[in-house]
Amino acid sequence: MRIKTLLAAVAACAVAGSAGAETTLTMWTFLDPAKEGGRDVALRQIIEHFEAANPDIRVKVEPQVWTTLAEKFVLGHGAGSAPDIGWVNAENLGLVLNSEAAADLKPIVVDTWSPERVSDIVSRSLLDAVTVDGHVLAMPIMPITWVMMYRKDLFDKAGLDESAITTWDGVTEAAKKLTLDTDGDGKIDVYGLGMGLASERYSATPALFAAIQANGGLFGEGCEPLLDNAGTAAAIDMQARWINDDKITPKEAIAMTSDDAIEQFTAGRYAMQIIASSRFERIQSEAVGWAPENLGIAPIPGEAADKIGPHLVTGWFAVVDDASDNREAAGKFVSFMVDADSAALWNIPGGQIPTMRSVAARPEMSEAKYAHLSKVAGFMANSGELLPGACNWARTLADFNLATQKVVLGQEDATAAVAEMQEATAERQ
Amino acid sequence: MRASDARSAYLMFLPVLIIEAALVVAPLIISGWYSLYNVRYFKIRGFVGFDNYWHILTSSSVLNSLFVTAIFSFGALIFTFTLGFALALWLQKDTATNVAMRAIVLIPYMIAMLVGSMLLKWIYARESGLSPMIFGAFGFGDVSILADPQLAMGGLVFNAMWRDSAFAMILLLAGLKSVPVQIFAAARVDGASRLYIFWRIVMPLLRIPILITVIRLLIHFINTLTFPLVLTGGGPANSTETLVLYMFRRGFQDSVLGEANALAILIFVGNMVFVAMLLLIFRKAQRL
Repeated sequence: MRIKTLLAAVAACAVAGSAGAETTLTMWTFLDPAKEGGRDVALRQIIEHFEAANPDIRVKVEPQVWTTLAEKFVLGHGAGSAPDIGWVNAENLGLVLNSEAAADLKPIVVDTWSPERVSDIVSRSLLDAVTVDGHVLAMPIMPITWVMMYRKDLFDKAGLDESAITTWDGVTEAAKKLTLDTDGDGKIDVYGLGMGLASERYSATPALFAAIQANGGLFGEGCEPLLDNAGTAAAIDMQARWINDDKITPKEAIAMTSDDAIEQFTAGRYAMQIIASSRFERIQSEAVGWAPENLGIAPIPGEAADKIGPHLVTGWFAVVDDASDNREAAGKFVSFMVDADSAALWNIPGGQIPTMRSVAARPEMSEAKYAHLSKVAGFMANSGELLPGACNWARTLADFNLATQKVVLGQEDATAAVAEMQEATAERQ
Repeated sequence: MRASDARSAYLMFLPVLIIEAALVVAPLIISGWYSLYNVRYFKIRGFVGFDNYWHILTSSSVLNSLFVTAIFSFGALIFTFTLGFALALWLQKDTATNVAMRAIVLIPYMIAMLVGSMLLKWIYARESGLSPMIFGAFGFGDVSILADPQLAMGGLVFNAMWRDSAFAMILLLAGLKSVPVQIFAAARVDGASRLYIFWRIVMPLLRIPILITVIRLLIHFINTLTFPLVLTGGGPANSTETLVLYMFRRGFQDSVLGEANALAILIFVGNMVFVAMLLLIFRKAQRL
């Protein structure tokens, strides 16, 4: 009798235990929900909403240094210690997508969406770029794109407006007018166009966008680079000419990192520069010697005035560990993190570009303080382009800079430089 | 020695051996093993034998990096050693001024390599740094140090000299202090000139400290990543891309780990060869 009672008690406990069983998802991201930054607050609220809707799932965030997130996720996958969900930046997608560490999100996320939900995504290329052989291996959370930032006050003084820089030829002519020796000491005080062309801590520069537009992308089938051609050579030549002949960019640009050049722009040394959209508010808050409201945003110039250039989209993506026991729950949270309600939170208070059309159309987005986000969302919707996630392209951006350096220093002509770029990028695939 | 004493000695030595095996030998073996495979994105894709080595030995980028490493390492060694030795001789006596000067000279060495290189980068910058003011006085105000291949290498060597000459000074000063003062006094009584004392007494007695300083500095300069990574980023046009920077990029930026490991092994062997050559040279010099 006693044994029967004991067994019944054990069985009751097991049932009670399973009824209250809780799945705890771990997530590695550079954000910290305990902090008060816009994106941190957005993540905190998203987790609170998710846990309220899914009482049996808890989300535990383990903040990480952003620069090593992808490597740690892949190594953790190999060692069996990866989190259920990891955040990866676009430049490192190749690492994750080629390491067989990421789970297919198609059945557990994308297939659960309604057709309306799919058509609400601002740019379909966001998903295409992370789809490998029909498997969706990552989910875009925070897209970032590059835009032409310019000084409205300097443009006004020179009698220019945004329409003057819709093409690269227009940029050249406008930059010539904007390059000035303001104090008459024989030295240029403001350059028309800023660029950071170092091979370390680099970012996208005009040649990249000109080459993408000329070649229809950077990669062909099987990640075959499309760089050794006249279009890329012309783009490299254009950048070198700006330094050597037109003098609208200082020669020191070839030794400047992307951050160095942005600091110079913020300090008022450049009239315009291609900069990641996410830097807008920071540049405004750190502007020295000029009013923050004079910071303008224009689309990436194109070959012709009636068609804006490509807006290369990067940013942050969520991946689910393929070896995780909690894939279903992780997929559920990832899906929640990118739905319209969450996208609204990433937008405000997160300060991110709206990823859903319904979010971009909200009345708040017409307010002046969010005008830049709305504008960037428009650029992305019109000509947003993601490089194929499975291709290793992060250092190709540095290859563009290296090629420009060689041409500026007269070590090689653009044709030879792009041939080397082709070889270097192909070798990394 | 009794057997029990020998056993105790081996037992006491064992922890060091275990640490050495875990932190040096094991990584070397793993690195050597990886170097024989095609390792991309942290995944082993297949055995390739010595293909990675062949690719490295026939690569024009590696050849350029080898040349850059040689220029940087020997340039930095010569200037750092010379300045360190001069400082050691200058500050040899324990006067109050010299003790204060030694502390001041040590400041760059106390600053973290990364911070020091970033400081110099700002100083070198033409757009916002101090170099236009300094060089302007000599009529070179418009020079862009980091955008010129030769000047960038000069800037890199200066970075090494600025930071590490204090380290050379410490090692050589310790050597100088170990020379009995009676020898100098006797030489002076015998009428020896300062130059004679330097060549015939100081140099021979400092042979071992000099050897240690040269080997330590050379290995440091060949293997340093921070200076080129932070100060010049290997540029412009790869003119300051050392072997270690190239290896770092291949491994951690290009995700081609098999090849990066093969290069690491070759650099390790190169270090060993250099040390062996220096030991031989100094041994021969001792016999002369």
